[in-house]
Amino acid sequence: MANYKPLIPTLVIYTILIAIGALVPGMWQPVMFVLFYVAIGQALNIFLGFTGYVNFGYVALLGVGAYGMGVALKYYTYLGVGAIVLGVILAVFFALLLSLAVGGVALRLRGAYFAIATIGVNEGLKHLIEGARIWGGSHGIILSGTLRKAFGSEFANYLSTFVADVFLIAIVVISGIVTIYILNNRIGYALLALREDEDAAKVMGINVTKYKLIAFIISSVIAALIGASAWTLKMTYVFPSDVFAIGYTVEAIVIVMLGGAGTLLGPLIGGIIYGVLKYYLSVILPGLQLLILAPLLIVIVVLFPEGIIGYVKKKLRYTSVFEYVM
Amino acid sequence: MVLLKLEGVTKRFGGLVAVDHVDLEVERGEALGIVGPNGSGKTTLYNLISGVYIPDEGKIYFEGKDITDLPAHERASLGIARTFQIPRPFGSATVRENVAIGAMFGRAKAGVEEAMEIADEYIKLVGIYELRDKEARLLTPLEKKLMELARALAMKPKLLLLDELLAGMNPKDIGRIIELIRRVKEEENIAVVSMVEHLMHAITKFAERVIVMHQGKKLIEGETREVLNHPKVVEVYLGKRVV
Amino acid sequence: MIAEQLAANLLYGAILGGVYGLATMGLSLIFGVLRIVNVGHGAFIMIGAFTAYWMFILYSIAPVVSIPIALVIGLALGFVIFYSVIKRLVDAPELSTLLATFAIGLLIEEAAKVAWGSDYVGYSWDIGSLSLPFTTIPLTKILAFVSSVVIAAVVYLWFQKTKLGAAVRAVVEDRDGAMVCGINVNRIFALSFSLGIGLTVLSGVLVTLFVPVGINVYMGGEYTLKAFVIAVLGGLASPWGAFYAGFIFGLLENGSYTLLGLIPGVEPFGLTRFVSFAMLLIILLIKPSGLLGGE
Repeated sequence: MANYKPLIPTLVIYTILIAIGALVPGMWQPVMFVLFYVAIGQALNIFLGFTGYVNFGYVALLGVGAYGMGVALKYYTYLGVGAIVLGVILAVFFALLLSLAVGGVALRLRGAYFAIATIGVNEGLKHLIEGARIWGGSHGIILSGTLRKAFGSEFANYLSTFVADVFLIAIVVISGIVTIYILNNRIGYALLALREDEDAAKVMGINVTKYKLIAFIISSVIAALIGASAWTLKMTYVFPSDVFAIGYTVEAIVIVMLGGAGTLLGPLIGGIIYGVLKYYLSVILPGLQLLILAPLLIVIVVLFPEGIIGYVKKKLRYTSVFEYVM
Repeated sequence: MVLLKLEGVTKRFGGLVAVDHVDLEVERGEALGIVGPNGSGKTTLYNLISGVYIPDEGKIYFEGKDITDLPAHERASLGIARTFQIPRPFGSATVRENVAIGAMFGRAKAGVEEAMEIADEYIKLVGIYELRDKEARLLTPLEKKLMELARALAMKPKLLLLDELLAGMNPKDIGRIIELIRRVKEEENIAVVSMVEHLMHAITKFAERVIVMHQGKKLIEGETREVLNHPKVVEVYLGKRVV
Repeated sequence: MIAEQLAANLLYGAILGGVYGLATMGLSLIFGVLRIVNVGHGAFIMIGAFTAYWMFILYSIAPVVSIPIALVIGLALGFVIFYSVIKRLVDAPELSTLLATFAIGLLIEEAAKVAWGSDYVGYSWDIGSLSLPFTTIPLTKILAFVSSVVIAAVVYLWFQKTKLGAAVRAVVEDRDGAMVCGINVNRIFALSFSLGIGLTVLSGVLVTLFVPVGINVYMGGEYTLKAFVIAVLGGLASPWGAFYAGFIFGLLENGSYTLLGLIPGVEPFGLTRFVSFAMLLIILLIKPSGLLGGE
């Protein structure tokens, strides 16, 4: 019964995107920009889409991942390339810490309580870092000088372009594969059941807290790796007001809901649409981003909750193409 | 062999005592009926047995093991399955997927492939095989009830709690379903407890033993015909001879 | 010295708690009747705060008078939001209402930013103060406290003594049962939602009576978190529990400032969110259904 066919259009789209970026002059940056949004959408989807729970503090996972890498590169540069490996480990470690702390307490409860518990998380962490002046406090971590000194200009540049980008691409592909793996296995069915009717799921033998936590941890770890690569490695700085900004949470939510929550292709399509629109329109409307996103989210939630892929699935239900859309 | 044992089980909601010091025993493979009007505590009793509620007082034993504080999902693994009076399908999943979920996470703990096969078996058994790929939310109420039954059976339970399963069915279907349950019960040695409010004929055809609930307490229990004709029961049900 | 400071902090905490309690009642009312968690709660408090500010700065209207003005604004806002968005989501899955109320709050904040900028503003309304042995309290704060208690009492009486209030309580208990009794449940939803928003906006005025500075379009977020901690503490569906819980929260919050201030090098105000959040986690850990009321 396992259906991995939807992986085909998915991988095809990934390939097309990368090809456009590599082959068409000047398109590499826009493509990476779009892939960032696909990535944060895919990571959030593993939790929001599969459990139906909202993590309003989502950006905090991106942020702690960014700090993980930032701390490693700033304070452990003497490890050389090992510092990057340490950065990955720290990013994952921080994500595990945060998701277990929040999830361990709040996921035992109903969706609304969990959503409430996550609301202040990103702000709270930001204030903690700034208030207690950890890791540079509100001045953040600036890496460009450190990296150049440690690795030489050329390699430092290589790190924040090629390596950061390849890292992000790898995350996109891997999270897509993780998504379809979940959809086809027991964990996916457990999540579907608890999403539809948590009490009925319990009576069927599903340990709902365990599965919610697993989805939350996977989503969080991937998000942290995105922060570590697309932010820290790429931009060579980490500012608390940037990496804990709620805007990213809202964007990710819109991407998941627009594309289709709980599907494989959903966040990919949502990320592409949103990324493209943002890239070409942000010149016209700087700073108004949230003002546009907010009503957009309302419209999607009220009129169009199943998202684009959800709608497409409905239309293609009895056709032969249906197997390729998930 | 005693499968399920309740000792002095009590559940209160605010000032209301929904279940009042109830003692109950279910033997392996037996067919037990629980009868009582709405508000007599039947549903709460089911919720206590399946783990949706934890009792305020008393103990619950399953196969000799104390499960009083055990969460619902672990009771399912031990072999307790139930249906709901108003079916609770996983709407966006197909019938087959719904039933397979029962097989995956019930006592059987099957893998996805195996679960789908088990699901097909039970879907055929209850007679909705042609609906197997239909989204569960699109089913008629009767079809949903049958799917609930298949889903509960796919969990390979030792104890099956049926909640008003037959309410709203026509006599032909009732007869067919009772036959079906009886057959599965024999084949798989499942103890089946069936809860009804007023389908007395069905209960007499099905249950060897019956417990009558009234205002949270166990009013009387015994062999089906005797109990249903007992003056106390007749009084509680407004004086109508039922058998 | 410490004892005096602590006593002063506790008094302030209790007074502030009254305001917090009223601010949370709207949240609990909306959840109790509609089973919807208004994630955008703080944005409405911000609207109330700005109402007090603009009325005072532009028209020299005393903040106390802004209270009914804010109530009317809140009722109107709640009415519009209910009929345009909330009504369609009454039976939707929880995720939808969480996202929708979140987006509504966000929209209000961003629209306010466009209209009023993102600067911090404040006003000062000095009507004297009350001298106590261990501290001096501005009368504005006492006014805020008294207003909260009076308004909460009025709301309570309305629920207990009027027919409409009884209808709302019926819907909270049993939606279908109320419908069968002939209560127009949809109208009750609209009324309760509007009233909930009205109370919330109104409490924004009271908040500024207590803290007349630091008013800005993003101030709501902090209050959303506090309101939720209070609501969970008092039982998410119980407006009365929320009021009492507000006191406890006010006391704890102010008490923690004193204690945190004792740690050298730590800026207590920067850590307030962290403290609120820590409290929330602890409460959720111990008793998720609230320590005072029930759900």
